[in-house]
Amino acid sequence: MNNELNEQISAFADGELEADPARFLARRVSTDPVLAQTWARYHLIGNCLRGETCPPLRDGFADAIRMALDTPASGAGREATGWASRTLRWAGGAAVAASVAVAALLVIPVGPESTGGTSTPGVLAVNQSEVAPSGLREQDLRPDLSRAAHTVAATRRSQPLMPLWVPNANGQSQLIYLPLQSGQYGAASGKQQLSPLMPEPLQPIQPPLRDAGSR
Amino acid sequence: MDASMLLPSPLRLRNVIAAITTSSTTQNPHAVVKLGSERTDTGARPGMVEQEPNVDLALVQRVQAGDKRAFDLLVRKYQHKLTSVISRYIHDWSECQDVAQESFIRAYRALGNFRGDAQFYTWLYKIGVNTAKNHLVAKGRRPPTDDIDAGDAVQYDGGVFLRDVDTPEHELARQEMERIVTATVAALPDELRTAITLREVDGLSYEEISEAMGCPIGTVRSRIFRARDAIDQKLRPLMGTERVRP
Repeated sequence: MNNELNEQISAFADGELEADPARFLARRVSTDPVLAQTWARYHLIGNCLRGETCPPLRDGFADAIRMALDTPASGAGREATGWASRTLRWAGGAAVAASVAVAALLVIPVGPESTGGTSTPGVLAVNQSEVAPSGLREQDLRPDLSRAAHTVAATRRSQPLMPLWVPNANGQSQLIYLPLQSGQYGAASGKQQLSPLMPEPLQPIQPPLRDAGSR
Repeated sequence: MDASMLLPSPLRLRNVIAAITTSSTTQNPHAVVKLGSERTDTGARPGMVEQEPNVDLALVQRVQAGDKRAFDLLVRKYQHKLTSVISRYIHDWSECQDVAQESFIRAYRALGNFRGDAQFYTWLYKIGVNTAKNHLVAKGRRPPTDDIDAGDAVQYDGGVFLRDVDTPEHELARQEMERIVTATVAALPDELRTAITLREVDGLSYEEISEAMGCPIGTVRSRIFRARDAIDQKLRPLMGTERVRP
């Protein structure tokens, strides 16, 4: 009986056993220490015949591995399989990145008051006196909101409009809206960076003629 | 004189087996031609039917399905081979065994990633080499820059090992093991010796051996087992001495 079993182990070691007997034998060998040692020695004999010998291993070499694997921390495919472990690893990385960003916002000074008047590296300080003079006043760039709002056609809504009072043929002032074009005024005056949106042509807003009959 | 010259080296062992097999199978040129062929990276010869990887794959699939005990068979099958590979990187034999055990544990934990694209031993070999290199780095030693081929790593040069191993006692035990196997194989009847050599040295399948020897497959299976059993009976007492080793 034992010889028959060992012959099966011999054939199993050579991969010459049918699938079903192989499955049955594998289960039996893996649970019987004597058969497991026979399995190991048959492979050792093959190693010796091929000149692949090494000094004898310490007693219980394979048993120590099995005991280590029997601990709850071990599991096949534990290192990289399972979406849960991957998600946890990703979430952990994201949490670290977020905390670093918050710490950076709290620690690194932001704004001119925090710099104490000294120039921050990388920030260009511009003096007011260095800005080229302009004939425009601030009020010139603001629409007159003292009059009632006029209905504006809903066309070209995407283009910004600027209200402007102009005299009509009757000598009365009339509110019109001019489409603003990007950089036109700036390109002509050299203040492209300061007034990106300006009407064309640009005329100083004339005060509305409040009393036409007084002329 | 070098002590290793007095004992049979692995190459001489192979030559002895090949010479014996050649003389006993001259009536079958097919078997003789196979002896001189080259090995592949898995230790198999080109053209041979590789049956054993199927066994490995079946065992791996069982482990992946949750049968932890199946991994024990893979450990027992490759424990000597992998430790021998690691001994090329780490020269202390006790340390080698520690690293080999760690490699097996790592392999088990990473087994979920094994898809069977490569053979199991090739995959295990890479884990073993990486673990050995990491061990050297952790110990502040520089790992070798040149990798050893998986097939060549287990081909043993006793002279090199005798210089590297921490104690000659292990080397003597290894040589004793080789001597017993060589002597037992030489004393076997021709048909048993031929069958076990064609299987283990040349890696032929049972079907190929049956064609080479002109006998049924069942007879081949029986002859190979009887040869193994004869060697095993001589080897078992030597394995008993293994118990007192660290």
